[in-house]
Amino acid sequence: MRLGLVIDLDTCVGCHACAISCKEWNTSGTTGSLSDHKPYDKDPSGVFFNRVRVYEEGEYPHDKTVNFPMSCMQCEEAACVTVCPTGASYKRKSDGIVLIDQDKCMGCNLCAWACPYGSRELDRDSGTMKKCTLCVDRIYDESLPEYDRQPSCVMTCPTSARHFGDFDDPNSNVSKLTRERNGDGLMNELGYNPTNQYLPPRLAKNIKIEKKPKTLVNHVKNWANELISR
Amino acid sequence: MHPAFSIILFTVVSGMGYGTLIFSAIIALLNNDSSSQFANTLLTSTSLGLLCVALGLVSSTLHLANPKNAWRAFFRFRSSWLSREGVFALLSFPIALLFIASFYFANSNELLQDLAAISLIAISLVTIYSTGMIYACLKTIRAWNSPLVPCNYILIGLLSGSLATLAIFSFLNGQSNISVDALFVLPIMVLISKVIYYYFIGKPSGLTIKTATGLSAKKVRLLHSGESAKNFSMREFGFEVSPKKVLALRFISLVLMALVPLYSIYSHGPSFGVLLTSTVACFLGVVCERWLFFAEAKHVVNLYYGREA
Repeated sequence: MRLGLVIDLDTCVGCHACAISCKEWNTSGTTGSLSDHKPYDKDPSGVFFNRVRVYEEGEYPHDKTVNFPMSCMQCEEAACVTVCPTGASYKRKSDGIVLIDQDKCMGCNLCAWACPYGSRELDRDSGTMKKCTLCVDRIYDESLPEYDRQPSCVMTCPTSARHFGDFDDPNSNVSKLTRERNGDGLMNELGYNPTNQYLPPRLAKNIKIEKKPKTLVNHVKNWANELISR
Repeated sequence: MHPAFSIILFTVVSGMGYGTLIFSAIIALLNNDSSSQFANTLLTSTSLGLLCVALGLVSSTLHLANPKNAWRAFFRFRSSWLSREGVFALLSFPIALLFIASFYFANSNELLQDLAAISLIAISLVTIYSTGMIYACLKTIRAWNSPLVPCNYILIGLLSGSLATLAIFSFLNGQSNISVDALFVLPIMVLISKVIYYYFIGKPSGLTIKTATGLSAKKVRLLHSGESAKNFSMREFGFEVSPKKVLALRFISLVLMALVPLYSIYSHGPSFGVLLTSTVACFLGVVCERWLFFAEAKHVVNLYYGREA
């Protein structure tokens, strides 16, 4: 098995629900808690497994806003695991999930330095590195209904921009989506072979702004509209 | 990269310590002096070298957020350069002690003395190389991902260590049989290798926000980082230093660590005072150089925040 996520950049609306839901689930999960520092102060900071950035692709008027959620890519060639001196970081053979043993981590930051996606964050309270677990404490929990055995971010996404599945199975939803929508990993040139795949935004025609003809009726309408808005 | 003082001190001091161990061993190899004064000087320089190494190791643990697990760092020797560095650093202590002991207890056995000296040189070189490889193995930081990095670490360790060792020998033993020419070779090599390194990191990396996001067809720019304050990645990787400051510090570091020793030894000869000032100048220069090594390095995560990498 090679479990991972597919993220649809076309439908993501950038609501940050995945990041918040992730924090809510994982702060009481296996690597919890995800500590915050000065959460109500001027300079708040805290551990998140998932961060959403916003980009503009193209130039106005031919542009598109792309919301970009990023978490651990569960790389096949996970450099964070290779550089770890304590053996706290490991990649599971059974499902490819990269995890950190909180009892072994010494907080040297080297794995965060080796990660090109910024998906590892040091928890100042515990002094250990923390990262996305792909909700490992949830996807195998047989006490949950089968539908709920998905990562928290996937469950919560209001636009279904996130999909969870096994990339080794060519008929899984994630494999199909990646195939059909030309999904690709991020920063492949570094050779880490990330498992998570991103579906590029679809090409959409620009919405034409309708220009009304200059007639007497329209002039009166405009005048009336302006009058009301005042 | 954020230049953490603990790591800068670790790499500088331990590099100097291993350089001292290497030059103590070289002097021992080249010398047939069996006087107790020579053995005592060797004991002093080796102990000071080991002290530097120990100080470096202690300083490196200051960087750990959870130092109670530091003992586990020795157990991933097969994959992690940090682990290898730790193991080699630990191994260097018994080898250095054996080296000292061979001069006190096996005075007639030259083979044993030479073997101990050669193993000390080997373990010291391997350890400095591993220190450099901790950084050079990171593909995410282009300024570090190069064989020039361990090469610089070794050369700078040798330079600072050679000056320290010769200062100790000229103070305690009056002289050493290392020819002064050797003192000229190292600063020049450091100068050349650092200039090559600065040319190497001056080239653009070729990685852009387009390759990072995979939105490669059109122009891409960051609209919003999604953060209201700096997060871990921004604090750790977002360090920026002005080009003016970089240029000034490069100049200062090269002058202090290479040109000052070169000039003062050339013009005043290798007396104790000259060697001591050279050692101090070199140490300060290397601290500048190491600060720049971290401050100038740009992590690829910066691309996602709309900055260069």
